[in-house]
Amino acid sequence: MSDPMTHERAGRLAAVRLDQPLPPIDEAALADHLEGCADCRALAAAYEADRVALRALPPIEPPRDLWARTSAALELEHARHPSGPNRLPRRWGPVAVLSGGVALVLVIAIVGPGLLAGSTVTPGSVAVASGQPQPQASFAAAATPITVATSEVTWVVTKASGGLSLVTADVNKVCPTGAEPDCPPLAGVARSLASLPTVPSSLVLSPSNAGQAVAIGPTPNKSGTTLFVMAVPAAPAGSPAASTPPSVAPSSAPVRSSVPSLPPSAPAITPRPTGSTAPPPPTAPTVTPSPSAVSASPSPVLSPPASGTPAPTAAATLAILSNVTLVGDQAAYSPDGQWFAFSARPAGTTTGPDVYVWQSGWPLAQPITTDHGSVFSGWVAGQILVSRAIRVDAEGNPLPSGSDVPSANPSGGTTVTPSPSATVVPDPSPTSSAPDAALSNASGLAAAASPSAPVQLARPAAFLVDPASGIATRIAGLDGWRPVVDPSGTWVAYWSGTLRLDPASGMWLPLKGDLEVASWPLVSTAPDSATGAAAAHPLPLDAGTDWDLRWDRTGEHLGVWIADTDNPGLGSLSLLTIDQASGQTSSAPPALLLDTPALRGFALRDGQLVWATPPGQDGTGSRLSVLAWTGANAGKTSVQPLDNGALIVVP
Amino acid sequence: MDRALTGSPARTAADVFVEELFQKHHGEIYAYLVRMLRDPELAADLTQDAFIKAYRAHDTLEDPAHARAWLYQIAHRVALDEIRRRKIVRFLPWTGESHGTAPSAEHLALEGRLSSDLQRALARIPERQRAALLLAELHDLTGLELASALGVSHVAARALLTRARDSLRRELTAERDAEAAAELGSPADRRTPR
Repeated sequence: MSDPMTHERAGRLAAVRLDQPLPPIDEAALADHLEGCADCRALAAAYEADRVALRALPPIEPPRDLWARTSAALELEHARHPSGPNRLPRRWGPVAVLSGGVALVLVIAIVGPGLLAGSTVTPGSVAVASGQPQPQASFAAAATPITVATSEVTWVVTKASGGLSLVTADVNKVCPTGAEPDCPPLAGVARSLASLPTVPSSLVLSPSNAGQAVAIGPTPNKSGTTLFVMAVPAAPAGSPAASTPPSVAPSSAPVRSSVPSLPPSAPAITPRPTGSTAPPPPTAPTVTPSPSAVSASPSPVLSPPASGTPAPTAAATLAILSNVTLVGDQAAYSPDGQWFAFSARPAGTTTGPDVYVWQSGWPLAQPITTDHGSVFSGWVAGQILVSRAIRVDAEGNPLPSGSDVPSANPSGGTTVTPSPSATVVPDPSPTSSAPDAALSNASGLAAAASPSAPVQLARPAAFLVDPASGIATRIAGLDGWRPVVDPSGTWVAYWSGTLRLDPASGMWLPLKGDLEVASWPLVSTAPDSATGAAAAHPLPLDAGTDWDLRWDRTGEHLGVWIADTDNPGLGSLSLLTIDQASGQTSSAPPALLLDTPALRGFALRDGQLVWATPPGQDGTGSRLSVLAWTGANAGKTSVQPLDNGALIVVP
Repeated sequence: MDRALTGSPARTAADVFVEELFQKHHGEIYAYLVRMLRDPELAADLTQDAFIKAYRAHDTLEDPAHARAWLYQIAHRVALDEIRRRKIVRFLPWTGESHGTAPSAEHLALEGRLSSDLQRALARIPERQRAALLLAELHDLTGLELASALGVSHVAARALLTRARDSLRRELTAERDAEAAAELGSPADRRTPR
């Protein structure tokens, strides 16, 4: 059924029909609408006139010496490569072997710091990119390489059948920007992971337990997403990951102190009655993941014991939450690896998101908020940073408390209500709609999300929530949406502005505002948002409606990925340098990346930015690209593109 | 020296390939880059860069029938890289120095061709939208060629094109409103690109 013909839609269709025939039903509806709408007719005519004017632009002739100049440049190029451009074969063997003839997907792995320290690739190991063992990339016939501090890149190659390979490679030499075609492709060492009943879209490795990861992918034969905890086999002896000590990669930059102490928090309401490492309370669901949800063919299915100490075995997976839509790109382990946190909402409903946590020994992830308006932003010194919408009227005044979103109490604290009964259980039967039922005690947002309801507005608020007790403390000085604090505790990046409720999804979306950076010590101790806002600096990028912010470990660089409005899996990636004295965007090197097309999901760590390019860049398929730098030295390298692959992004 | 004319014995398949490519398409590639960057001299340099890249990457072209779209894809990336570099440079403080060179007559003539309200409006819309509009309307790329050149899916390319038409319309309206305001003597709202 076609959407109703609004003026806005009529205008869009009037533009669309210049490039493609409209479906008959849309064509007829547009014609009807234009007949009764003079403004829309004028707009449609203007689009036509613009096209005519564009095509009538005068021709531009090239300069007469263009061939002479180009020929001379080709001559130089030819002299460098007398036998022609020195390139590796386009099709690369081992990946083709891995693919087994099915479509390949590549997932950027968000790697915990325990796997990041430098090491060398072992001769004789599987070289994923070239098909031959490649202990180090050869630059013999290439542009002058740039040496950078050794860092590790990790990615995942998956098959449509669910098979996964974790690949690691060291990067210590890159090519100058613009000379990438001369750069030998990055080769890595692969190890197989347990099969999943789905093709994952992202993988998060535990920073403390090299044998554990969380994979996120579509729920098999269902709507929504499932999170699987899975075992990661040890890396082959001598490979980069195997030689990696379980510590954070060394850095010449000192790491500043972590989080400043916060003002005394308001009393917590209903703290979780369990310790930080204990299994869930007795009232937690005991439903075991269904075999269909965790089938790991050919691996056996893991069924967590009733005693509550489940953990994935070497060849098994454990579904910790199913049939949800993951919200945000920040699903992450705590720095100590004890907790995994994320935000999700029931798939296919208008119920808003809540924050969930999971730790080893738990069969299922547990919600720590039940307001259906909370979004996990990240970890700060063992606490969860949560974004929440505080409803306001058209003038920006907070609506009375007791509405559908918890509001701050006079002492600055607010409440969350950990409710085991609100847990979303893994779907125990093929026809169950567990999330709807499980969250039926939800207050407000879903009911408020009627399409006919007036636009509902909100201001963002930030809270720190203890994962064990559920105690929430409002950060009075930060009115930021989806704030992300850098690991050194120096800066926080967030979106500041007004939110609107999307009736279709129950999600709060940005309406008007900016991405900003502020001093975390200042905003986390400021008495009010006005004081905190005074310390903020806007970023020179439009946020659009969705984004992903990631810091490097020292807070000197901020990666900003902004989703394309029409194709949210695709976006543009920028690397910003933050002036450490002022917090403003700096022009100092290596601000080397702005608005580069990138698929959702990237990794930023000390001296290295990793992303996946959309297919078709520079005449090639999708590829994993790496920008690496040491001081002012910076360059790029990449993995050979996937001929038939698709690059899967974080949902 | 023109290697094609001198018949250098060391010519390779890549040399022949790129020379033929240049003969067929250099004019349209140059025009595309001029319209993207509004700088004829820079466009000439980048046209040269695009053909060098094509030379280096010639073996990635799987089907010669797609050579034109493939070349546009390279030129598009070259243009975006340059625009990105300009944005970085824009962060640098202005020192008051100038290049100190007067524009050539050829440059001035071209500048005149780029100074219509339509051209100014084109320059103000986001670069990827500008590219989509130019490639579709002035360079007659088909939908699939457009998607390939822009490095996006067919659906995304069409969406980009629709947004481009909308952006151009709004910029043209703003441009003409500003002109009308200027003619009436009020301060014109001459916006600058972000």
